[in-house]
Amino acid sequence: MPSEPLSHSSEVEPLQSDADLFLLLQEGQTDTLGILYDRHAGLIYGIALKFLGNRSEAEDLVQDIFLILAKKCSYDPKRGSLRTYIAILTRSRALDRLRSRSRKQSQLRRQSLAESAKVLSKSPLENIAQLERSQEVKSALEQLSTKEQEVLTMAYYQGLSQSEIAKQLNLALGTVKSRSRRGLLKLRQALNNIRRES
Amino acid sequence: MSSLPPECHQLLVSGYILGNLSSAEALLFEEMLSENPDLIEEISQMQQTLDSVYNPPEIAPPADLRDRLLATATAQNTTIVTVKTSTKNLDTATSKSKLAGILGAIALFAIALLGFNNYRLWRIANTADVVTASNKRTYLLRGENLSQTVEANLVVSENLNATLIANNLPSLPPEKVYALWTVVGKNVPYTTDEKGAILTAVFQVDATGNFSREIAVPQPHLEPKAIKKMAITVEDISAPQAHTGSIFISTQ
Repeated sequence: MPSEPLSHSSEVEPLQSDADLFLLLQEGQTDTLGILYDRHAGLIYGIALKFLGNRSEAEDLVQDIFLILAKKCSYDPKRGSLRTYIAILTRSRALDRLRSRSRKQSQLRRQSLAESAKVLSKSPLENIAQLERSQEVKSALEQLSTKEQEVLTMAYYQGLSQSEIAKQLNLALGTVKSRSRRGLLKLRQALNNIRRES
Repeated sequence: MSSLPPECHQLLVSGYILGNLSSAEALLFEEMLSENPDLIEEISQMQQTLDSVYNPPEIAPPADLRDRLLATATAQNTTIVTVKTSTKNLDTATSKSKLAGILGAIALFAIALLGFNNYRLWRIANTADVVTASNKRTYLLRGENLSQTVEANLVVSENLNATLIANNLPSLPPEKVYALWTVVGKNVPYTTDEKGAILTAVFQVDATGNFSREIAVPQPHLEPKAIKKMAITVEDISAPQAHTGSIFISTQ
């Protein structure tokens, strides 16, 4: 099992990776859930709040996500990072909730579609630091080809599997993988360059 | 591994962050990481790149959410153990007696005929308990039908926040819901219905018969002695407050 990096506040258990904690959690050690919560709850709550626009529902979703982790779930710690898995799962569940709402209220259906279409939208409530960061991100994204952006968005933001992307874009599976990996690599390099220059 | 070009290292890191490593690549990645722990920093940077581009800023959840989550997870863990034990016992009993199995099948057929309004007639046991630990109070509502354990836990914490978890409750027809009642009796300084109960939550279980949600409980939970029992009934979805259903499971 790879020693996954400590994504965030790692002071509590500096020696335990997310992957290790996840495996312990699967074995029934629920106390590890608190450490994972400390590392990733801010990410989940941020995503949930952005999609659902409702604090109560966002809190509910945060709980759901962690309880899914505590039970059996499809995450394989050898093949990917837990944080990525959690982010994709949160967006997917948030959209499910929006769809569920939309069945009851057509007005919210429009909101759901608008939300799902948003990839890098800017909210009026975002602060200056976020706006500055968005400029960095925008510049970095411009250095990727449209195809690379498309595959990355589908894989990470929309949570589609590699085979689903390959089918939708009529590409070989290997092409989807390499394109998304190169895209992320280019993004990192572009962001590093931009930050170094500023 | 060390013979791999740097770009291959980076692409593997990228694949790991995106969660799309194949089995062979996962082994390679593991080996690579064990040989070069400094890669952890690179992995962390790659993760931060993905976060900064596609995720909104992190927002700290309310301070009490962590405690509520851990309480729910602990309760669910306990519940799962309880149900597993119960199922095992039932399985053993069944294997010991073919006759019991046949009778069970007949009884199950009878249950189907009785319908939802007669759940109480086929319930063969109803046990319950109330446990107080630190600032939390747990109400255990449990019963058994002929095939499996049926139960619900209500964990009440401070400020009238609570977590309701139900397991193995039968799925209901669309026009029916489960209703959780706080029973305080009559002639008390609370607003109750004619049966001395306060409607506390209305819910439906998922396809597997489970339910879990945060709920707000009524004022009497600030004075637990005022509560005579917690009970779950089956009500019409259009008017659960009518309280026409019989008690399905309850605390004693």
